Amino acid sequence: MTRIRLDALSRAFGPVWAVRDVSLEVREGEFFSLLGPSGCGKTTTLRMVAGLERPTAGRIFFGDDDVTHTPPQHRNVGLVFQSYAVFPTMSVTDNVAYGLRIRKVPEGEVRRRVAQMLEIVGLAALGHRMPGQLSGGQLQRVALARALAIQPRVLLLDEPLSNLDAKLRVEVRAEIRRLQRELGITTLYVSHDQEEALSMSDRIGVMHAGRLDQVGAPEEIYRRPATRFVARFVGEGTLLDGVLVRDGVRARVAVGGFEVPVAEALAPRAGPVWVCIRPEGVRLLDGSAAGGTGGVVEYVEFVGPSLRADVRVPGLPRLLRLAGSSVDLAGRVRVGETVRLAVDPAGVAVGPAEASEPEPLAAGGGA
Amino acid sequence: MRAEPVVVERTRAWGPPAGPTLDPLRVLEVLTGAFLVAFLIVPVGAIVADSAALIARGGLWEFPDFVGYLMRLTRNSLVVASIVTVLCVAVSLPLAVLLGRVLPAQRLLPVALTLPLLAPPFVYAFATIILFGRVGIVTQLLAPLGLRMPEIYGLPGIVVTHVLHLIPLAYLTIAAGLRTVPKAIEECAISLGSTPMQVLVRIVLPYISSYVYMASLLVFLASFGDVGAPLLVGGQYLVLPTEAFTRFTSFIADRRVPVLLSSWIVAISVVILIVVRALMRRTAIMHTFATETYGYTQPSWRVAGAAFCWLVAAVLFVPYLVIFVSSLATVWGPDLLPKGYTLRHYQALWRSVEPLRNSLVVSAAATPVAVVLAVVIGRLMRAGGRLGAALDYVTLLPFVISGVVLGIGLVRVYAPLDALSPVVPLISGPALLVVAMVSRRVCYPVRVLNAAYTRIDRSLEESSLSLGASPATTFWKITLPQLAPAVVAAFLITFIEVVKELGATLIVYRPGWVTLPVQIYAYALEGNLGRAGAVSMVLLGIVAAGTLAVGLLGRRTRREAAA
Repeated sequence: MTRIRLDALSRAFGPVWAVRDVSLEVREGEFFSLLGPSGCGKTTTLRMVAGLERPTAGRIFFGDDDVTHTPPQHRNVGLVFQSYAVFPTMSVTDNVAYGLRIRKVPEGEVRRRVAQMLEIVGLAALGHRMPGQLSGGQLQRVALARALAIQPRVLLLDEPLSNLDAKLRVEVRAEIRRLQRELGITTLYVSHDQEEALSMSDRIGVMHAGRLDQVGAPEEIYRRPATRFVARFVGEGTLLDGVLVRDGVRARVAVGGFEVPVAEALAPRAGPVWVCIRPEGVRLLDGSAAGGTGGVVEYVEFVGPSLRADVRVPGLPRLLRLAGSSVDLAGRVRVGETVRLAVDPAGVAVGPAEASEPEPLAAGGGA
Repeated sequence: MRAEPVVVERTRAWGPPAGPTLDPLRVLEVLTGAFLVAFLIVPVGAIVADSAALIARGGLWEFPDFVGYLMRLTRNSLVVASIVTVLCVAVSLPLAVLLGRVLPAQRLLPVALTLPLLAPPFVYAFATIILFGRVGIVTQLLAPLGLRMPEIYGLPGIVVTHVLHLIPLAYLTIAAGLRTVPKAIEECAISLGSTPMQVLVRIVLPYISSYVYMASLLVFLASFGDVGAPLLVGGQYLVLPTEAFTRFTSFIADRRVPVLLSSWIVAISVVILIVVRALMRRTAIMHTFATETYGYTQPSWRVAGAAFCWLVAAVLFVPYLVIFVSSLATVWGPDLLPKGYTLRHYQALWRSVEPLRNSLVVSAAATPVAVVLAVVIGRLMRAGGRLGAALDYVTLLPFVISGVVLGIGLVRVYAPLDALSPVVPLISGPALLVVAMVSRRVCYPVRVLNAAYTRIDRSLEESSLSLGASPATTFWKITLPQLAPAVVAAFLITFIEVVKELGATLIVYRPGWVTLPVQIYAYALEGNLGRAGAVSMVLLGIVAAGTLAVGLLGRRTRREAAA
């Protein structure tokens, strides 16, 4: 098992920086996700770790070995793609055995290891099948078994669940995580799906326009986003721009005529800020209760266990989103009705306003 | 106050228009079917039936050792086609891999490598003579080194000509296969520890095997069915199509032998087609065109690869150069270079423009017919079912069998009916030549339009029908406009293929209807290489212009699709 360290890794395609100055460390046995929208550079980063893409600058270490210039066939990484990339001309067994046979592992040992791998991913009965006879979920398991069979130093997963349907995705997600824990293998996972990243990872790195915006545990990323982009991209909620004001011990953000209370511990210096009110930070008050703010329900979305609603609050430039158990909220929010709301500072993230959100960068003149 | 009731003005309900009693599409389909039956199925069927009857009557009992003669010819034909196939694939496979994976930035090479497809094979044959003949350039260059060029007339001549001419066909097919391999497949194999060579051999080659079989099939059948090159450089090495041709056109016209040879060619070609198609189906992978393909960055591969590709391109280009020089030479040989240069071969062409005119007239007449047939056939094939499958095989037939066979079949059926020609003008004279060209080359526009039909969204036509348009109106207003670019491409491609056709023309043409290929063949046969070169340059010019137009059209269509 090996830790992965990226040191100021950069990659330019022509004049465009796909990845710029990314430094991070994936600890031994850790499940680390790179999360970001498409085009943010996460896949390019993973491809550089795999050796399939040459860094323009920076270095890559596996443990203490500098592998920056090691060709991919000598890096000993397990690679799983979104498209499965199962060799269509070989049976399941031959696919899983491929890397071992390349390594000239004795055939008896190959057979033992392949059987073991297929057992682990739950495909023991399908070894003789050709890939054309398998479903998407099964193909992805073959790809995973094939990657793990060579006992790689690190496992690299590039959106491995994106081609699966919703239900299967949750199933395979749990399976990958279980396997990763059991084998204790250092894993770099690339995804644009925040739910996937939040639920599986030990830590997450959020990428945006080629740069790493924030690295942290899932809860930290969600509760204390470092940038406006992270606040918007991870989790849902109402993102507003305002001015932070303090009176004594309480900090509030003034947005138009509305004031959002924020936790003092999180609050930056007074001045322009962005603020993100998470749905769980919006409490629905009883009709009889005093205080709070009135608003008109504009939209209700029923999603089984939970219920989401968007409320127009006078003075706020955006609709305020609230969510709760569909049992609790049943009958209390209806489109067109007036409700009373209060904002809980525990469900509010805040950060200093940024000059402007960086757009995908073109390389500067000197680069 | 009482509210005024809302008055909905009810107009007369317009039912869908009553359909015409005679669907024009149906008429076209019947005409197309009649054409295919009359000029493809009946001629080929007739020679097969003749042969069956001949064998039933005891065969060619007076012909000494006919079986031995047939086996000798068959062996010769199969030997030529096999050697040519192996050599072509052996050269094309590395070419395709290098250009597809190692030298992806090369723009000029892929074009240079397809140049030989412009020329008909017999043009390459006479370049072979100039290069390797008894006083050929290479022969003379080797002589001072004490190396004697082996006699070129015979197996070596045919093989050299066919290999030079057919490498692009194999290359293009295999290159298309390589474009279907997704990048991720090769990346996974690499990261599992394989060397680039191991990836190519263990992963890529099996992945594209159906394309390699396809390339082999195309090359094999093209070589097996060709008549031009063996006639010019085959010497005493007799192959099936040349024997069928010479015996059919000789003075002692015993038509039983060429008819039997022709059906034998049909039988072998069809068997090979069926076997290879089965092989292809077994190895085919559900191909999706990969958006990106892998690139190998080994520096040594790049240098050696570029050298290899340029060498092949140069070798493939030499015949053109030779033909061009010969068209300007006063006398060429026995010296290394021509004694002098002149334009008189071209001036001679100017004095007798009939072959050029004939070629253009025949092609201009045959091309629209073939394209209209293809539009109708494509529509029927899209509907699928048994008829679609049958049409697939019927239109493939003339592509698979030698042009000579089709020509013999047509003459066999329609020459005896010559008396009817005032009533049915299609069956004799230049009209039959046009018919032969359509039958022989209709497979090209059919393939082009087939691909275009599959890209059309059926729901557009279904919408039109549900709005009350008749099938004919729907076809005219909805389907045909979408086919337009493909129709134009099919036009040009068909024209190019028709203008090059020699095999069927040699059998069917009448005096006074000499075409460019026939004229080149005649000049080359009598050793008048200057004239042959000049005519070839004219033919190449026509084909090159057509090909350029196809390329420009394709680029424009792609740009519009991207916009």
